Amino acid sequence: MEPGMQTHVSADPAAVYAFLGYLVLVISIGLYATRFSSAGLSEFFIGGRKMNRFVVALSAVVSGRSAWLLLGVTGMAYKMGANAVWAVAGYIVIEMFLFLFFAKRLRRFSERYDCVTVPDFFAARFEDHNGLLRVFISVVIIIFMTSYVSAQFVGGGKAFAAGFGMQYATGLLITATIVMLYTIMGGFLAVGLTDMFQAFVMLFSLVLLPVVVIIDKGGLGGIVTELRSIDPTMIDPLSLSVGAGIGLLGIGLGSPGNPHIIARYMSIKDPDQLRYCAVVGTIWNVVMAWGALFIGLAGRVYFPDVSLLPGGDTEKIYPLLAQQHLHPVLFGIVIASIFSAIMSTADSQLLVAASGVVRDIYEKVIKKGASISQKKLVLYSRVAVFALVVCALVLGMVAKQVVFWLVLFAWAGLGASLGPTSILALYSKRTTRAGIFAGVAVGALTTVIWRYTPFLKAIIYELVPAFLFSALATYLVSMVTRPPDAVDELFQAMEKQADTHKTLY
Amino acid sequence: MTSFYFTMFILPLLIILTALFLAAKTKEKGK
Repeated sequence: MEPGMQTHVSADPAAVYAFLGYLVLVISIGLYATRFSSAGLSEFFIGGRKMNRFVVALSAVVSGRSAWLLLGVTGMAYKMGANAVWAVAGYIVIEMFLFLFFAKRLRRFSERYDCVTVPDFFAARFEDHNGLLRVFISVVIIIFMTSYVSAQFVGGGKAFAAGFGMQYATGLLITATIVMLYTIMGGFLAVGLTDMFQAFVMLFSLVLLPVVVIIDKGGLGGIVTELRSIDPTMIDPLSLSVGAGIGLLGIGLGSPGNPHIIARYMSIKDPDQLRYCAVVGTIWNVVMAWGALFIGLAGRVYFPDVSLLPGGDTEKIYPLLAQQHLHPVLFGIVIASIFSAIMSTADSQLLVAASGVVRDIYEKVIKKGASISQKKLVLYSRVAVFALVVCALVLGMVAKQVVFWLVLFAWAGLGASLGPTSILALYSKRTTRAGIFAGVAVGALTTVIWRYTPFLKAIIYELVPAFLFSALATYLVSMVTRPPDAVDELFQAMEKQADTHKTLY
Repeated sequence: MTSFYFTMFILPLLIILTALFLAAKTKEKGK
C-alpha cells in the first residue's frame, strides 16, 4: 500500500464515530494515569514495579504484535494457506517460556539492583564501571526503537488513508499525536492500560471477523473444500521446505531481544504472578493468531485470485472482508484494531527509546554520580518522548528509505543481538562483559550480511543463524575472559525474591 | 487433511494446555 493511495476500503459515518469513541477512550486512559506516572523515573518507565498481572500479560503480548499480525499474518495465510501457522507458533511458544522462566529471573534481578531499563540490567550484571556496555546497548536500542516507532507511524498514516480516505500525512500526524499525548501524560501506566484496552479491541475483531466470514460461506467444511480446489497446498501445513518452516518458527527468536517486550516483565508487582501472565498471554496470543490465520484462509475463498484484491495487495484482506461482512460500527472497531496493534507497539517502543536517552545516557553516563530530583527526571523523560516523536515523524517523512532499511533489521537485529546475550546473562555464570560485546556485534552483523547474501537468504530467515552465531560468539569470548567477581551474588539476586535493594553503576 | 485440522484446532489447544501445565509446575514453594 503506497502512502496516500485510496483503496476500495472506505468508511461510513457510523464507522468513523465508533473509531472516534475508541480514540477518546485511549486518551482518557492517558489522562487517568498522569498523576501516578509523575512520581518518579521508575513509575514513568516501568510503572514503579507495581503493575497488575493481567495488564503485564496483555501489554507484553500486544507490544510485540504490530500491524504485522493483523495485516501481515492474514495476508500470509491468504498466500500460503495453513503453512502460515508456523509463523505464529514459534513466537507464541517462545513468549510462553519467556514469561515462565526468563522474565522471573530478570524481574527479581531488576528489583534487587534497581534496574529500570534493559541496559541497566546489562550494566549491573556485568559490573560496567566505565559505562561503555550501557552506552553501546542503549545506542543500539535507541536507533532501532526510534526507527520502529517511525515505521508504526507510517503504518498509522497508511491505515488512516485506507480506512477513512484521509491524506496519508494527516493520518501520520494524528497517529503520532495520539501516541505522544498519552505516553507523555501517563508514561508506563498509560501505555500498559491502553495496551490492555487495545488487546481487547484486537481480540474482539480477530474472533468476530473469522466467525462471520466462515458462517457466511456455509461453515468451515465449505471453506476447506473450496481451498482444496483452489490449491491443495493451502490446507497442507507441511508443504513448506524444512528451511522455510524453521525460518517461520524462528521469527519467535526475536522476542527475547526486543526491549519493548522484555521491559514489560520488569514492571510486574509479584514475580511469581508471571506464571499467570504465561497462561493469559498464551491464550491471548493463540486466539489472536489463529483468528488472523482463519481470516486469511477464508479470504482466499472469497477472493481466489490476488488480482481481485485492491492493488493486488494481500495485506488488505483484513479490512476488506470486514467492510464487506460487518455492520459499519463493527467495521469501525476493526479499523480501530489495526490502530490498536500499531499504537500498542509504538507506545512501548517510544517509552523504551526515551528511557535509553534519559535513564541510560543522561542520568547514568552524562550526570553519573550527580543527584537529580525524580521530578526533574520525569520532566526530562516527557521532553525525550516529545523529541523522539518529532524524530520519528521527520524520519517517517523525509528519510523513509533509512527507516525502511532499519526496520528490516529491527526485529531480527535486536532479537539476534540482545536475545542470546540476555539469555546467557541470566543463565550462565560464565558469561562475561566482553562476551556480551561480541554477541551483540556478531548478532547484528550476521543479520545484515545474511539478509544481503541472496543464496544464504534463500536457505533460511536471517534471525535463526544470527541468533545461533551470537550465542556462540558470546560463549566463546566468555570462555577466554573473566566473569564478574560477584557473579554468585548476582545470580542469587535472580534466584530469589529481593528483600534489600542495591544500586550499581 | 488430518494435518490441517491438527494444526488449526489441536495445536492451539496443546499450546494453551502446555502453558497451564508449566504454570502449575513452576509454582514457587510456600506461595
